[in-house]
Amino acid sequence: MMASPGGQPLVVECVALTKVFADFWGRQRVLAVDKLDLDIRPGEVFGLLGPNGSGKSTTIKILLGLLYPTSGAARIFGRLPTDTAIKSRIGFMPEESYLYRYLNSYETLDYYGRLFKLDRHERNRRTEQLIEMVGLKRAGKRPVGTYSKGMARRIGLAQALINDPDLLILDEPTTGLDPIGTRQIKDVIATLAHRGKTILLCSHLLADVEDVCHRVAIMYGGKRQALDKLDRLLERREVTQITAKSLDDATVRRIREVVTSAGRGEVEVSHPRDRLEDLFMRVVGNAQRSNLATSGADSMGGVSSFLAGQDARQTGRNVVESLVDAGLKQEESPPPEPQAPKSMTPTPRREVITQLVSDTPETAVPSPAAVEAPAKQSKPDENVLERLMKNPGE
Amino acid sequence: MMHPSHLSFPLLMLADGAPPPDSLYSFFMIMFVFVVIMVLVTLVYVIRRAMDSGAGEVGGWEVRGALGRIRAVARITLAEAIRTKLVFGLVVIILISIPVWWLTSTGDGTIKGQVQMFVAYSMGFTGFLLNLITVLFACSSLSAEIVNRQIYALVSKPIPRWQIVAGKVVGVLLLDVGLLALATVATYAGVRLTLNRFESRMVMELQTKGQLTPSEAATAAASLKQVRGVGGKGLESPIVATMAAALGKTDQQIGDILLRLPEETRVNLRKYDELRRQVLVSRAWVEPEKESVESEVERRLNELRTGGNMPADMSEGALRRQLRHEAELSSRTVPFGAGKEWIVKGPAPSKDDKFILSIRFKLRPSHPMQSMPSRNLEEETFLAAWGVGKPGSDKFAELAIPHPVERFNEFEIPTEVVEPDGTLIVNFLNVDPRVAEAIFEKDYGIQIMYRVGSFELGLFQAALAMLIPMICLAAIGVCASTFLSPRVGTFMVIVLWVLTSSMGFVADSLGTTKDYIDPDNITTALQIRMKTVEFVGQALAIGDCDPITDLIDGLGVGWAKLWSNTWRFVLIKSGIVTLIAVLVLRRRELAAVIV
Repeated sequence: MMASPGGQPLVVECVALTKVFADFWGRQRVLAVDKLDLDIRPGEVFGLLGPNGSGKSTTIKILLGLLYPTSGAARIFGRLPTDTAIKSRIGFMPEESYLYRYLNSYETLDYYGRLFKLDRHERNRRTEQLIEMVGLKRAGKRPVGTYSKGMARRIGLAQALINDPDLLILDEPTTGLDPIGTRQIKDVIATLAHRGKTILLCSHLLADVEDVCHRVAIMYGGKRQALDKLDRLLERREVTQITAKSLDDATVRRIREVVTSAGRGEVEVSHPRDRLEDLFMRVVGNAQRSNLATSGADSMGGVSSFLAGQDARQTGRNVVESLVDAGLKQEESPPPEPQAPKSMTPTPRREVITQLVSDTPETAVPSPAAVEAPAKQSKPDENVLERLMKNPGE
Repeated sequence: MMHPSHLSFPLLMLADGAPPPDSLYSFFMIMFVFVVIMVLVTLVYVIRRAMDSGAGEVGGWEVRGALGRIRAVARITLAEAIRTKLVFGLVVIILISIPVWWLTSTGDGTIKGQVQMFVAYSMGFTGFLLNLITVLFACSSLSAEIVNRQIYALVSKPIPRWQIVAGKVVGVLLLDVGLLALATVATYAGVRLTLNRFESRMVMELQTKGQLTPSEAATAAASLKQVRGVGGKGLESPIVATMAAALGKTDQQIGDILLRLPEETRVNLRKYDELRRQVLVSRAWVEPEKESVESEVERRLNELRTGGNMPADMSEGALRRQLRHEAELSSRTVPFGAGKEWIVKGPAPSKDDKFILSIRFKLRPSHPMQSMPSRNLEEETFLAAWGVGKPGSDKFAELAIPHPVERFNEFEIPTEVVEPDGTLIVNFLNVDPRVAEAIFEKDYGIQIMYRVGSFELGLFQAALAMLIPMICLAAIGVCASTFLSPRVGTFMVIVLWVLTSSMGFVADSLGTTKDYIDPDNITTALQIRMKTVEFVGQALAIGDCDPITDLIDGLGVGWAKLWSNTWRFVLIKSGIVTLIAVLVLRRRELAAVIV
């Protein structure tokens, strides 16, 4: 079994993984995955990107033992994906929530909890917390079959987390979710990543991936087209954006002069705009604080304490706290890295990915460095700004 | 139209050089070959699906924690059945049908016939319904989860595949057990209700028509439950004696009271007693050892040989069979004026009040029996004298009653006549004045029945016996659902089920039953057919008791038979089928995309 350079064993490893779907007579019909090499290290948030039909789901199904590779090999925690022994460390959120329509949320989670041999007390505790977390407390007693698509996704997420998995596999996690749910999934990912869990995220929604993933692989036609750290893929070194609290006209003028004198040509200084997601979050967050009721999914009360790695003895208090300031929590709980700089991410990044897909296959070799903290979303270089302000004449 | 013998099949060319008889080319033979080919195609398909890509579950045989997980899967399976209103619908059907049977069952118009018909209908219908539901439910159990992809989340949890299969089978069976228990309790309640209604009507009629006081009527009706012993007709009936003892009256007084009752009620009094002692009990039976006719055959053969009378147109084997047939027939034929003695080894007599012995027999006369009013004999009856116990001893009892022919008759005998070691000597004397031979049925010519337990026990054992085919069907259904879609699986298992219950017909069609076989001319092709039919019959069998027919004759299935059925059909057959299901589920790709 291979180990990452840091000495830790790889969590997921695919070597020349190939899957061909054959018809009844054994004739090869679809080459779904073509010699895929992949390795995911512990504590990493890994994004598997690609358009529809690029082989993402097939790869994930092989990793779950639902399909068997035609050739090549896949290993999870160093063992075959069909090994029952590793399943207790895996959480899987299916592409669509294929759940038992006649069970309610509590029964669903209790059922999966039983499969992990959790005792009754632990099952009840985790079920309660997870339902609270995914905001289904009010709808929890209704059969899952009556849920909207987004609510079903939430319960799908909850069942994937019932065992506090070391490896979380999310297949198109945000499809059908409202922005709050999307944000929550990202919060969960960030929290789990912070606790050293490994996450494999599979999506065709770039926005999902760009906010949370450390590394991404882009697949097309069953082949891996690109693999690297996200910020390296996204960074546009030729553009610098300056952000500050509203500057007066004189300062702006001075900055323009400084930049122009440095020979950098035309400069544009503008007020940063919120991304729509951030605005939406703020508005709904305010509404929640004023206790407006909803018949659908609530937004969530942060991340469950057992997922955040808190001690069981503290949970009683934590649940109460989370009930008291449900709305506030979602801003407190998430990851160690501040989320605010997101709003400044340069918009044209998508072009980069498109470029990567089209003309630079297999660009980069995975960085040998140990896993780093979540992507820092192209933060503006504060030193540059400081220098500019202090020495306008330079 | 082409003559059938112009057709040829490779399979049939195996006949020993000689042209096979025409029956081989029958329509059924064509169907048979067709079915064999279908079975082979299915097998190839199963193996292909099972061997997908050469991978499969690794490990997954652990037993630790199995119970909890199997229970979880079974609970979900059952919960789904309950929530989809399937269970609700079945409960409604059962709870409606049983009162309908209760209201419409009349049988032969007597209380006994009414109860027998009700029990047969309500348990029989429930059994059929539950078998059907088991097939429908089991056949879609796993395949529906695969089609709806709920299996994705299940398989990514640490549950070994064998536990998924076991959980599904258990879930289906829980449904069966619950519904069967409901139906059994409802049937029992129905029987009790019929009896109570009869008893209160009895009290009423004894008051109004029999002119007894209310308390006397109640005592008389209650005494009906105490009746025991064997008696004759009319005033000699133990019913009269028991009632007389309970009321402190003479037999004659009771006879007068009973004569005031309507004819129907008097018949029912006797039938109620029969019902109580012969139907609403759990009994076992023994029969006399089969007599060997071989020595007789040899004697006759030697006689013919020494006399030089060997028929020229018959082989020795055929002659021997002919003689055996004749000897066997004559061994169970009793001419007019002659007698026959059987020695039966049964259970040792019990001092228990409830120990009841009776003789059950079936015979036919050598010619139709006309009625004979002068001797008070009705048509289609046979008058015989029966003696039980050692002849000449003080424990010998005799009775001469006409019994209907060509159906099972039963009469009680005193328990004192049984020897201490359980031996019972039964003598039959053909005394019918219409001068006919009495020919006893080949199997079950005469049986000694004795009580082993209450009706409740019998009903409970019958319900358990009904469960055995359901367990088999559940295992087969779940197995089918591991590699067939819900609809195809259901269709296949229903075909198998129908085939199972019509194997006799299949054997007839293929000419492999004794009636069709010429023992002198058994060709290879015929042997292949016989072996195949035998094998298929055994392979498809899902139980070999007929608990409902037995139940209405007051015959218990018995723990021994239940156990033999359990290990043959539940432990071995269902076990093998379940193992196949596990192996298929372990091997196959659950997210397979068929292009």
